[in-house]
Amino acid sequence: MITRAETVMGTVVSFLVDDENLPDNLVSTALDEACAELHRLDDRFSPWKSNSELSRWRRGEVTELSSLMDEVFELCSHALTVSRGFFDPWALPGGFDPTGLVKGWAAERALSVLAQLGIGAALINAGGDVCVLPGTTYQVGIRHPQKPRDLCAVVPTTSAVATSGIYERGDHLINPFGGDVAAISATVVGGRLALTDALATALAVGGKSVLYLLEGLDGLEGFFIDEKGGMFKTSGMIFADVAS
Amino acid sequence: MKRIFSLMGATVAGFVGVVTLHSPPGQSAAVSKVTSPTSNTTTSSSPSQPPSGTTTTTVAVPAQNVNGSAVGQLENYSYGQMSVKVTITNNHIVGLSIASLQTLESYSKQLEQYAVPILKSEILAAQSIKVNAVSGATYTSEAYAYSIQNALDALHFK
Repeated sequence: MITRAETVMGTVVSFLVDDENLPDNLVSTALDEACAELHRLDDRFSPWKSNSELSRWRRGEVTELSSLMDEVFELCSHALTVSRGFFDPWALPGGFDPTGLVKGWAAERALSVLAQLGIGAALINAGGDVCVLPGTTYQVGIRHPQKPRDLCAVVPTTSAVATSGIYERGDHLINPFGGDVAAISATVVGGRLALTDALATALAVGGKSVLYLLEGLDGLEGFFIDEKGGMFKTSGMIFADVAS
Repeated sequence: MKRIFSLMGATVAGFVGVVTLHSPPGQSAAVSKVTSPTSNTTTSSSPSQPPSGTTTTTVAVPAQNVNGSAVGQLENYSYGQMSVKVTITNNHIVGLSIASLQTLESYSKQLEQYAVPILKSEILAAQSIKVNAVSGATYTSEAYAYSIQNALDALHFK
C-alpha cells in the first residue's frame, strides 16, 4: 500500500494505491501525473486565483469557454436539475462558484489518470470527498459533526462518498430557496464524485426534501444529521457493522 | 433589443410569480424580472383545483451576455408546493427544473429518526474493521478567508 498527500485546491488530497505486483516507479509516476492534473485543474477553476479561467470569466474577460469549463457548466446544471435547485452554484453571493462540484470532479479525473497509467486499485480523498476505482470495497469513516476526533459512521464504498456540513467552516452553505440549512452534516454515497459532492451539499441544505430525491436516484444513498443530533437516512443506506 | 424566452410547463399551473435573476459580479447585464401574465390571478383563485393546462411564461432577457439562475416563488397547489427554477449561462437556458415537494409530507412522516452514533476512534482501531479514509466537511484557511470575503462582498464592503 502506497500513500501520498498533496496540498492542492485549498486542501489536502491524499492518495492510497494498492501496489501489489506493481513496480515502484510506475506507481510514483502515476501519482505525479495525477497530482499534476489536480494542479492544472486548480489553476483553471480556483476562485481564489485571479488568473484562473473561472476568475477571468467571472470578471467578464472570457468570451470563448474552454471545453473543460463547458464540462463544468454542464455538470453544474445537471447537478442543479437533479437536486431540484438545492445545489446551485449560480446562487452564491460572490457569483457563479462551482467549487462545491469541482473538487470532486477533479479527484475523479485524477483517479482516471491513475487507472490509465496501469493502477487497478486506488482511493483518492480530496479534503473529505472520496472516490475509489471500481472493483475494491473501501471503508470510509464519516467524521462526527460534534466530536471531531470520532466518527459517526463507517460506510463501505466501491465508488464515491462525499460529506458536506457547516460544523467547521462556519455557515458557508447557502439555501438557494432562502431559509435555514437543514443539516450540520450530510453524506451521500455512490455514483460519480462530481455529482455525489454536489448532492452532499444539496442534502445539507435541503435535508428531508433532498433525502426524498435520493430515494428516487439509482445507486445513490445518503444520510444527514440535524443540529439536535437526529440522524435521518435513505431506506437503502448501508453502514459497516461497527460496535460503538 | 430584447430576446424573449418562452418557458412551457405542462404541470405548471399558472403559479410562476415574480422572479429575480442574480448574476455574477462584472456581468452587469442582470436581468431582473420574470413575470407570468396569468400568475397573479390563477394562483390564488383556485388552490383546490388539480394542476391542469399549460402556462406560458415570458422572460425578457437583454441581448447581452446573461448568466444567472432564478427560482420562482414557492406556490401552493392541490398536492403540496412547487416552484420553478431557471438557469441561464451565456444566454442559453441550461436548466429548467420543477422543485416539487408534493409527497414530502408523507415521506417525512414515515422517516425514522436515529440518534447519531459516536464511534470512538480508539475502539475502532481495536476492531478488525479498517477505515481507509475519513470523509467530513473540511476546514481550510483559504476557504475560511474566502467565506469572510464573501460576507464582506455581500455587505458591499470594499
